Amino acid sequence: MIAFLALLGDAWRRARDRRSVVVLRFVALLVAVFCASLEFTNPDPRESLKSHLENFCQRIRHGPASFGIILKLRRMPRVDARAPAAEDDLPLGLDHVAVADFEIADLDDFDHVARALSGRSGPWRDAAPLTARQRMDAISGFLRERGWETVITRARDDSGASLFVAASTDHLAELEGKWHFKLFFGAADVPIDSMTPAEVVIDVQRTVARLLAGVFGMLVLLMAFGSTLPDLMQKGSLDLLLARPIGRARLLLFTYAGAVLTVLLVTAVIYGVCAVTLGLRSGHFSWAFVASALPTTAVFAAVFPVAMLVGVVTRHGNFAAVAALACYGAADVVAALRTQIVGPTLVNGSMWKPALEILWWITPKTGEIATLGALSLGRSELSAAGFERFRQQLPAAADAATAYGTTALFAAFFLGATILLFRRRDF
Amino acid sequence: MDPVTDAAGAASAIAVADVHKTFRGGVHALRGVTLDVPPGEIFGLLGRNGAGKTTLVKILLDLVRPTRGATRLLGVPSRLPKSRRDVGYLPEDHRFPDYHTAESALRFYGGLSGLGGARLRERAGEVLGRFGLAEARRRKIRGFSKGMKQRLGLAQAFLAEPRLLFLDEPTDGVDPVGRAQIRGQLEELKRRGHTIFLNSHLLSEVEQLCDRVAILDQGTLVRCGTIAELTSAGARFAVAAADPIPAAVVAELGALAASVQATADGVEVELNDEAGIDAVVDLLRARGVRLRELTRRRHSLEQVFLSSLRDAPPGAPPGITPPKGPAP
Repeated sequence: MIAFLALLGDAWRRARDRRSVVVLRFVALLVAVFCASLEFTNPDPRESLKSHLENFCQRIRHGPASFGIILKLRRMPRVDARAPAAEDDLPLGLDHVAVADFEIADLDDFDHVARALSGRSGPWRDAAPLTARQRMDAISGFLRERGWETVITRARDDSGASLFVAASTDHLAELEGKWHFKLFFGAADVPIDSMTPAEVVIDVQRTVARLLAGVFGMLVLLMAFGSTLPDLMQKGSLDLLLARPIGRARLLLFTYAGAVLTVLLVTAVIYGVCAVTLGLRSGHFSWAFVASALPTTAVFAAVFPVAMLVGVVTRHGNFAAVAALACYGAADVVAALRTQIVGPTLVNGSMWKPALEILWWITPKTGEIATLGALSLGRSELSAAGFERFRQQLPAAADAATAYGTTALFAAFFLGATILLFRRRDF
Repeated sequence: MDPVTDAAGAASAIAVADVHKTFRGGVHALRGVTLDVPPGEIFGLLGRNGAGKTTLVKILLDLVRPTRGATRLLGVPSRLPKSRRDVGYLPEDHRFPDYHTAESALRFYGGLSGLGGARLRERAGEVLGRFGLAEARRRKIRGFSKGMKQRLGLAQAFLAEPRLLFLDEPTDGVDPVGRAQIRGQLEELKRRGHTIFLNSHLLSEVEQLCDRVAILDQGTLVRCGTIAELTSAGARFAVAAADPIPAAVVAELGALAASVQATADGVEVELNDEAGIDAVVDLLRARGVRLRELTRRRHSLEQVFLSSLRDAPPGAPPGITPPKGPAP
């Protein structure tokens, strides 16, 4: 235990001393200042309801990517949004309520979009008109997707062309609608109408996580730690270590664990600072964001053994870091090829498909782990409906057991090979 | 049977039994080295560059694996990490991670040796003070001079108060005052019963410090013994007189000695038996020669070392038996 703490302390000192980590800290400081400069203005419920009803539409997705077309009403409905009144006879206890009188300008046009919304799209001319109930359901479903938690619709006539709509939510930050997002302490005002404030907060968090866990972060961390073993194996350095009463395998494992724990600490501190500054500005403290340090560290823990193995073989720090980065990049490329480009479309059924499958299984699931981290973040930060909307924006990820399991096997293989080689060598 | 598991090996601080090492490429670094260092001794290992000294030390510390043979430290096979539990090591050309301060480096290496807490702090403070680094304790090593790094190397080797110390060129880069201090530290350790294995090219240092010395040449142990044994020149004496010794007296001495040689201040006699020196002194006094000094002649360690090498350079002293094979 004392030996492990000594190696942990050494890894921490190494991290503090490396210029690349100083750069990372500076970038993290910039990110924290940026987060502190953000201002969030929640959407006005009445304006949001009016905007939603006026833009009754259906986005039709094509393929696995987010390409699609938007099916909108050709004739604008008349929407009269207002504050609730006593005669509206609404249930008690609703938060952030908005009501509107909604007049459909063209029933055929409305029904066409509504059918698409409910998945009952068919020939335009031959389809039977929707009932008033179906029209109300279409509006309710549409509004729930925009973040309203409670939607009440009443038909004012038999056809359902004139409707009363009341909507409310407990989570105003998850309400899609018109609101303002200010950057740089109010210097830039960004009007937003397609994302909720909660989604923007999560997107900022994901961007920070991608920055730190993505190429830049991994570059910095692997440059800082990739040379650990080559430095340790320099003539005169290793003698001082191996002359201690500690076995070679244990020395390597402790060195690995020390580096991984240091990265966890560094990223947790950076994420923590960002979470606090974002929380102070948005009023929404996201401790789950601090936990995003875990997937970031998991990615590092998966590719660091590559640097260790190359370091033991070549005794060259830069080679070790570059090899680990290449592995990280290759894993992303393989995952992208498998899920988005080659897999479903171009070479389906050819010999490339099983080759890609095999490659995917043996490479670390760095992209999937990042996606799983984002999912975990969304799950803890958003309501069930909000999370469902958020989930649809993310690429499909392997299940956690597969992603983490195969990644752990990858790391264990390289770590094992490193230990085997290190134990057999004369120094 | 493992040659180092016998009773003698178990009682030794260092036991080496028939160790061979052939590196990849066919380089024979060690050829059947066998030696034994009892506890409490300062043992010096001499040899030219490439003789195999460092390889032997590395095998003892399990940095290099022997091709054949076995070694033990303090009775424990040196393949096992626990054999190094009570061992300190100062490698030649050691290199500390330069992001450490003197103090944090000692905490790091002390931790790896199993020292921790208040004991580690206390020991680190003590050795830093002992080696003159107390004021530089919080300075980064990258700003240290060569001498300071060497003293820090010694500090880390002494840190855990090991029973067995391996020192490779311990005074390299240290000024004369520092060297004297280091010698004092080593003598103090010896008095306290610690065993020290010294690799040094400074023969004068080895001669001053070591109880026993071994000489390695081309991977073979060619000599091993106490300083007195190695430097002994037999029954050879120098007699200094107050006045020049008459030639007739010198001729008379020829009857008592195997050889007699007049010198600037007297004569040098080589006897068949050292007891014969009494007869020499009696004769000189009987002839009225006023004696000033009688000394037993010894070879210097350098002479012994040079003459021990298989391809001894010109100038190696005559009369020292050249090596014929591995020493026991």
